[in-house]
Amino acid sequence: MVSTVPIVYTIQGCDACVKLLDKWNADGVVFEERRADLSQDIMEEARKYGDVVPIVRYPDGRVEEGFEGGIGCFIG
Amino acid sequence: MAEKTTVVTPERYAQGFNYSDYLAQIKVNQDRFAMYDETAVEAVTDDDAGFFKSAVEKGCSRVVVIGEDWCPDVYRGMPVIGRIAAVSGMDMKVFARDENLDIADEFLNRGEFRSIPTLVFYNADQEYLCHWIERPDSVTQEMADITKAVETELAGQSEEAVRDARRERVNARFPEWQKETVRDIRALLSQTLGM
Repeated sequence: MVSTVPIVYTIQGCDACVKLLDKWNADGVVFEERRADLSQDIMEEARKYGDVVPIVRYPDGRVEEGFEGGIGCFIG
Repeated sequence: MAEKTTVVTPERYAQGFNYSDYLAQIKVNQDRFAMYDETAVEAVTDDDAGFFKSAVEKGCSRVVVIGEDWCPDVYRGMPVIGRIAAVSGMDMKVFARDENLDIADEFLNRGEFRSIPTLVFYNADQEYLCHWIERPDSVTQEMADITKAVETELAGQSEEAVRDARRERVNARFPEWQKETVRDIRALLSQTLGM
């Protein structure tokens, strides 16, 4: 099923992830968070799109890694 | 540097996971920990084992390992210290960083970052000896060199192609980087213990 909102892959303890989600929450952005540190399936899914969380998949197919210039946590 | 007042008391130390129990409860990367547990056996030579046994005899008998299962530096580095502990008789306790932020905050990288893995060495009386953070400087440099090389060689290609190439080259170096980790830890303990 294609998502109609951005999907953001995060991990606990990632300051960049917290900053992005805080910004989006403040801006009223609707998104779906998927925690890559909670299951191998989500970790593998995140790795399809990038190496550095937060990884954002937009409905139009664009992918962005990191926050504000690439800052984030490396998940390999 | 560890402060004089530490949260890592003998009682707190005892709350840590032993390595096998830590691995049994991790949620991600069990396959990668297993793979690098195997390569860590080769990374710690007989000569290294002898050194670390001597280090334990000189008082370096405990190590706290702070890490998280999602982190590549951890699934590469924790097996190394796990192997060192196994061959030397050093007691090892693992603490998940994000559930033990007070411990992590005693050993911030450059006074700012909760980098992992962090290894903190103690004697049998829980007196701090030294600590090691994240990865050898040589590995940090090589990672940057690989990234630059891949971006240059694959300029104009898709981000996916660049990422896949970088991953392949970086992962191929993990076993050698484990050997450099052993050398780095050995140098630290040699200096600390006067060996």
